[in-house]
Amino acid sequence: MKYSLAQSICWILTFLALALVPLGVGMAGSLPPGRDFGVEFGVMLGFLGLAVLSLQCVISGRFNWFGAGFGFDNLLEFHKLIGIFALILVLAHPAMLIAANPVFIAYFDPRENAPRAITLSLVTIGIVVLVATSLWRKFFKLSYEAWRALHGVLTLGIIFFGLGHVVMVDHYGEPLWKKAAFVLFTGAAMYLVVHSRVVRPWLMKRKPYTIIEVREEPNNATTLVLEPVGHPGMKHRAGQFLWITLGKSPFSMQQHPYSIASSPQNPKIELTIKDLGDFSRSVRDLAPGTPAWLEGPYGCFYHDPGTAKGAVLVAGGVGITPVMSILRAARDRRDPQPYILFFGNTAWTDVIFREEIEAMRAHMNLKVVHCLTAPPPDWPGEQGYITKDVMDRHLPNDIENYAYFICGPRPLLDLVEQDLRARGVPAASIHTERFDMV
Amino acid sequence: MLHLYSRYLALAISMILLIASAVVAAWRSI
Repeated sequence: MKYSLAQSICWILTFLALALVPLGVGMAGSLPPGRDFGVEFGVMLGFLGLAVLSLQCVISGRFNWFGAGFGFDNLLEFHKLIGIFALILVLAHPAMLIAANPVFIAYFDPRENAPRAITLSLVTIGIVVLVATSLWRKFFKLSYEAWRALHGVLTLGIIFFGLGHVVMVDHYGEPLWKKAAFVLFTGAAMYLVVHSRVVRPWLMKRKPYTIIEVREEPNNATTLVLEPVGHPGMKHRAGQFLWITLGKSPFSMQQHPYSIASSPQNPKIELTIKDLGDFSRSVRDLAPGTPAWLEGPYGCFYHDPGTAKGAVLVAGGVGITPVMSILRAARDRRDPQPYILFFGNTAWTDVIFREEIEAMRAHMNLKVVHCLTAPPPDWPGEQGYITKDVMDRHLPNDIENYAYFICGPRPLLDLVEQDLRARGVPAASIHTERFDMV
Repeated sequence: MLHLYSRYLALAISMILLIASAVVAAWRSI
């Protein structure tokens, strides 16, 4: 499902309303006497910090019922920025209180109240570690799996101890129903973490897959062909992605997102993975018969032929994978619509699916524009990156009637998306997918 | 379509929430 502007605004208002729930609960019913603005503002920042942190569990939890129409890469970008905001709130909460009235420094003093001081210190240190390890995971030399485990544990710990802090301070916690509401709000958030880390893998256990083929591709890429075992498989739309876990158990921290390259008409799932790190390098050594667990499908990077005259597909390198799924689906359903593919690569030998794309041209209305930054000497096609000039030469005149799909490195996405917007293509017609989202 | 706007959206939401908290704090301190 993709969102219209009205739906997007609804989701943003829902997020804002939810972020204000703990603050609203605190301010409901009978209230203690008011204090200085600085003190009250410090308290409000604390409520807001707890709420925003709790909502992070919904944003990042890959729930199709929350914001899926924005695209999960956009949601993750939003998650990252809101995480920094949560860090600022949680640090500003005691800072503002102490600045307004230095007596609040005693909240950190274990001699005054040990449990209160310990929970406060744990939350403060915990969120600094949570955000720092997320922003600079590689600097801290944390593997993706170790970071993912740490991220889950810290999130649960911070929300749990944050709730403990609210209950222990108890300034806005009376009568009892308010405390119950705080427990319910934060408890729901903590459940969502448990759901994505425990319940979801447990559900995946019923739908195993096995790798039946490992195929080498150009440009250090490998295609894994997966077959469902004992179930009909996954229903996906061309262009969507999934998370894959390899090995005997789906309860693994090693879970990675990849676009599905195969057509939805194909009962097998094909993933084409470029060597970009430890995990993606290891897939070429996998043996047929390796068990796999697939979570998904996710994403709104798919073409709905009824909504446009045709599709313009822009891919950089291995960004071709979801685009390939869209093309294979169009070929399989004998789609008469025009498709224009801009495909950027370094060298001709790097072009993944080169022969298959050429063969497709005989079966569908497909124009292919290869752009090579290091072309062979007699190269007749476009040279360099996919630029505005290249698009000028090959885009149709009625560009506003087409749907646009861009997948590749961030600079390509930014350049093409800005260019299309400048040409008057509606934002709703432009779909992007970043493959470096985690 | 939103990836160019994610950071602005996060900033706008953060500002709205901060202003809302400041308004509530101002009301409590009257």
